[in-house]
Amino acid sequence: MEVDKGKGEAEETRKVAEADRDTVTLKSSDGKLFEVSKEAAARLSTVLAGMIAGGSIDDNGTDLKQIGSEALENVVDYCNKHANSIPSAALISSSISFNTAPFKEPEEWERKFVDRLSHDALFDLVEAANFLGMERLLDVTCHKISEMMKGKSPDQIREVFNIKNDYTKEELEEIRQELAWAFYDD
Amino acid sequence: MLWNPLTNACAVVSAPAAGQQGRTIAGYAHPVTGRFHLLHSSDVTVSDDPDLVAPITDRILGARTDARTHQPPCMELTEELIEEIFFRVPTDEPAYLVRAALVCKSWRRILCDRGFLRRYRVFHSRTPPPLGYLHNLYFQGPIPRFVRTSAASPAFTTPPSLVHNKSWRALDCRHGRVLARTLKHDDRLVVWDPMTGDQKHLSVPAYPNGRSYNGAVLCAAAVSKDDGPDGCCDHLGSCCPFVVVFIVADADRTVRASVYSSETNAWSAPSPAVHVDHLFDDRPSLLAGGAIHFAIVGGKSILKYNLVGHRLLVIDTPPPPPPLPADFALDMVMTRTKDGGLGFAAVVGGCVYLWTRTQPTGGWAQHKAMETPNVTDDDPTTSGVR
Repeated sequence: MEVDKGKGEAEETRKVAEADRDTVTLKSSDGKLFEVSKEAAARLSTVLAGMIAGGSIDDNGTDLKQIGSEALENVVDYCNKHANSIPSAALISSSISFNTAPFKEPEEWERKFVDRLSHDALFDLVEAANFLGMERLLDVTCHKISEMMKGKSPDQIREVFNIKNDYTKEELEEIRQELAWAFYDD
Repeated sequence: MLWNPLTNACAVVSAPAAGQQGRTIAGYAHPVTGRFHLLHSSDVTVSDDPDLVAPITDRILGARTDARTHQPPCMELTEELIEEIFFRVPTDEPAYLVRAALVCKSWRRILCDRGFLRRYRVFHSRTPPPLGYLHNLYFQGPIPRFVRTSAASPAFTTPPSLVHNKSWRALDCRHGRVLARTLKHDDRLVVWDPMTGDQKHLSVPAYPNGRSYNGAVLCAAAVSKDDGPDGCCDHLGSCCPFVVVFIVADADRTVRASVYSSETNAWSAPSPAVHVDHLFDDRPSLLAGGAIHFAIVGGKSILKYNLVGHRLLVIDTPPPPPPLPADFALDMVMTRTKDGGLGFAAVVGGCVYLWTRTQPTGGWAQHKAMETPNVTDDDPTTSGVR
């Protein structure tokens, strides 16, 4: 019983120490460790917020087996940049505007953040943002990908998204005729 | 046979006589309207016997089920994330989503899903943007009757019945349908769905002493909903039934209303009459609080038609704000308030005034006013926020 109590106290001490820390350590699927601000992680990710509140953060690196090191590095980078950014006037004013759309346009730094990513890195980051419940990062990455469809023909979109055309030629021709207005600038 | 993939409704059309050689069809749904379009056909024996039709129905619906479970080998992202990306496509660029539907069959399936379209609308927290407007300025003038408000708006083809008549007037446009009246030769009301091209011709209710008229078209589902049509029907496709309200004023300004229902394909008997001081204004009607509201020339009163109860009522508009005299003819616009009731808006001295109905007294409350950024007024005593 004594030993058990000692173990319990040690566990308690470790949890207190962990609670005092300003950062949490995350471990990617390939075993790399990343430090991220606890405040930013809790604010930006519903999943990490839940883990922090529930005490299930591992001091030696919380396992995120679904996320690769490159994507996790980008997640951490985004959290750190977000913590340092000051909400723009546009974001503040939009909250009291008549247009109550929940989606807010990415800020300049968010645009730059996703613009520098490769195609694969961007797609991996979308999945990571979704897995971690990072609504804002999902907004920004999905917005970027939706912009990649802008002004493109179905052929060009397939190329960007690496998608195989499973329509027959006849099916496509028929649909194009029916919906000619959507292809006015092809 | 036609199949609407959104409703699973099937209908046999132009079926050859039993035992004759006919064709079964396969096709796709229009990503915006959900209308089913013929793609290719194959020869089979078709019968109007339900037992023989059923296997064809099953084949088409079965194919749909297979498509739902089919996972394309090429897609990098899950369907959930593809949806998230489609949500971020701007609402004022409908062509993007149509093009996306042509990328692969699984994308088309996502985009044609009624649940996706509903979530897309919720995501953008607002009603779909207008694709354009119809005007009655010139019957055959230099301005096209349909004016696009987005570069990607479809170029709707006016129904031949209206083009041939040349003189027609758009009375109303609501829930994806246009109500027009042909003015010469053949006097008719035409209900036209610009997205599908479908049209329905109605006889004009007979009012021998009619001097002034107006009309409204709305989804039948909105009739029984006091809080407006949002949520009760998303008006995808032309499958949902509709209602036309037609009001006529006699020379002595006695007004009656007739209602057409597409479900019964008949006009109702005229409603009990009410008296108005002036004839109808040309502006479109407003649906709010379970009633259709028609503007009356002069702006001092409006005509309210209760959808449930088939009853007309004349109600006074709010008095103009001081220092304007009470008899000042203020150009007021009917609006729908956030809670779905009737309201009014007017611009006076560079300010927008809004009025809502006060309950239970039935008076008007001016409860909000704001300065209009684009309306200037040189008189400092009449501008500013009140």
